[in-house]
Amino acid sequence: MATRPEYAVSNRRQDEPLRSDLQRPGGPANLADILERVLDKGIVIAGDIQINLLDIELLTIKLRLLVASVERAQEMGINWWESDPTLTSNAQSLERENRELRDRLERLERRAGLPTPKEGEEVILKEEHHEEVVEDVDGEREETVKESTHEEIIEAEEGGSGTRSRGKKRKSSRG
Amino acid sequence: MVATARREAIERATSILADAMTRSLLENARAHLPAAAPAPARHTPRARAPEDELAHSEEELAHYVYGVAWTGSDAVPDGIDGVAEGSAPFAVEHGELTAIVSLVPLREFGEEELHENLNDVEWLEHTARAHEAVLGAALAMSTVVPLRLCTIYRDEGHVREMLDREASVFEDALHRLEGKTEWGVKLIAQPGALERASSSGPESSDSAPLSRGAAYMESKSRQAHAREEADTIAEEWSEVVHRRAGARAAEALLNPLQNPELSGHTGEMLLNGVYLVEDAAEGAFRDEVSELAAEFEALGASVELTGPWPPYNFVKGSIEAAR
Repeated sequence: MATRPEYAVSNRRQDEPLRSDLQRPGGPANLADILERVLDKGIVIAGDIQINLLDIELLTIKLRLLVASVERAQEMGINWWESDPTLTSNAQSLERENRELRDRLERLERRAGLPTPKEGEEVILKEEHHEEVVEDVDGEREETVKESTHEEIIEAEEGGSGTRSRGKKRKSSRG
Repeated sequence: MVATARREAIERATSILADAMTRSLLENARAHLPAAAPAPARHTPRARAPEDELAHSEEELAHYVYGVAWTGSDAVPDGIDGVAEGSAPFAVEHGELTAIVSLVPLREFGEEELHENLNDVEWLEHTARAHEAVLGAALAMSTVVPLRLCTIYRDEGHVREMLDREASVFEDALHRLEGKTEWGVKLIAQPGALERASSSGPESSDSAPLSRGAAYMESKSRQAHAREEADTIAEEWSEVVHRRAGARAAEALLNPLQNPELSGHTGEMLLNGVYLVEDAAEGAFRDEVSELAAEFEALGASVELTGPWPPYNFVKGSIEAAR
C-alpha cells in the first residue's frame, strides 16, 4: 500500500504502455468511450440520491455534446431537434396547423371528387391524355383521343403493396 | 422501583460511554499506526486524512460510490481526486466486500442539483472522467465491479447496507470477472475506402453508346448498386474484426456505433465492439488486433484499440439481478 506507483488520470495501465500504432497517441480516453460506459453501462443500484439517468434530458445532453450551442449547430446546418416535436416549444402550434391543413385538404378533395386516402395511405394519380390525328390518303381525317386515369392508393404501413387501382379508358373517334 | 430504574439507566449510560471511549481510542490508535500495518479498519486512514478538505469543511456531504472490489484487494487508488474537488477516494470495507467511495458535497450532488448538473456538459465530462479515472486506477490493482455514474448515499451506514443487500450480485460479478479485463475495438473506414473496395470489382463495360436518358438511368442504377455493395463490404469487414477479436476473448459484445461529432473520428465507424479478455490471453488478443490493424490499413480502414477498461459492459447480467 505504501509503495504504490502514482497513477495518472487515465484509464491505461502505466506499467504496460499500449503500442502507439493501435492507440490514439497519448491523450486521455475519448469522451464518447467514457460516456457510453459510465452513463449507459455499469451496475445500477438505487442510491439515496434518486436520479434516473433516463430522465435526464438525454437529448439535451446529446445536443450539447454535438455542438457547443444551438447557434453553432444552426451555423453547421444541424437541426434535427427542430423536427422532433418533443423538443420544440412551438410544437403544439405546428400540430394545430397541421390538423387544419389536413382538414382543408380533405374538403378540397371531396369537392373535386378526388380519392381521399386514409391515414397512412398515399394516392398516386396518373392522368394521360393522348390524341392521334391520322390523315387518310383520301383526305379524311381520323382523330383518336385516349384518356386514361390511373389511381393507385398505397398503404404505407404495408410497404406499399396494397394497391387499389381503377383505370378508365375512353376512346373516341371522330371522322 | 426508582432505584432499579436508576441503576439500569446508569448501567446503560456506562456501557454507551465505554463503547464510545473504546471507539475513540481505537480511532486514535489507528491514526498512529504505520500505514503499512494491516488495518482492520472501518475505512482506511486516509479516508479522513487531514488533506481531505471536504471532510473538514462545513459542507453537507454524501458518499459517492465508484465500484466494489474484494476486501484486501487494495483497490483504492492513491494520489487522485474523486469526482468532487479536494476529496480523495477511500475504502468502505464491509466483510468480504469493499466499496470505493469518496465524499461529495450535496450542494453539488443533491437530487435537484444533479438534475441540473448532469445536463451541463462540462460538469458531466469532468465527473465522467473523474469517475472513470478512479475506476481505471483501481482496475490496475484488482478486479473491480463498476457502478453507474452518480450512485450516492447519505452516509457510510447506507453504503454498508447497500453492500449487504447486493452482496450476492457483487460476489457473483467479482468471481466471474476475476482475471479478466474489458477492451474496446473499433473499425473506422476512411472516407472513400468502402467505395474503393467496392469499385475494384469487375465493371460491366459493354459500353454501347447510350442516349442521354439511358446514360443517366445507367449511372443512377450503378450508384445504387455501389451503395449496396459498400454496405455489404462494411458488414463483411466488421464481421471479420468482431469474429477474430472475439475469438481471443471470453465474451464479446457489440455497442452502437458512435456519433462522429461526439467521438471526433473522421470516416465511417463500422464496428464498436467490446471484449472481455482473460489477462492470460491479453498478449494474443493484442497481437490479433495488431494484425487486423495492419490488414485493414492497406484497405483504408483503421482498427483502434482502447483499454484496459473496468468491465462496464460485462456486468449487465448483474444489473437485472440487482433490480
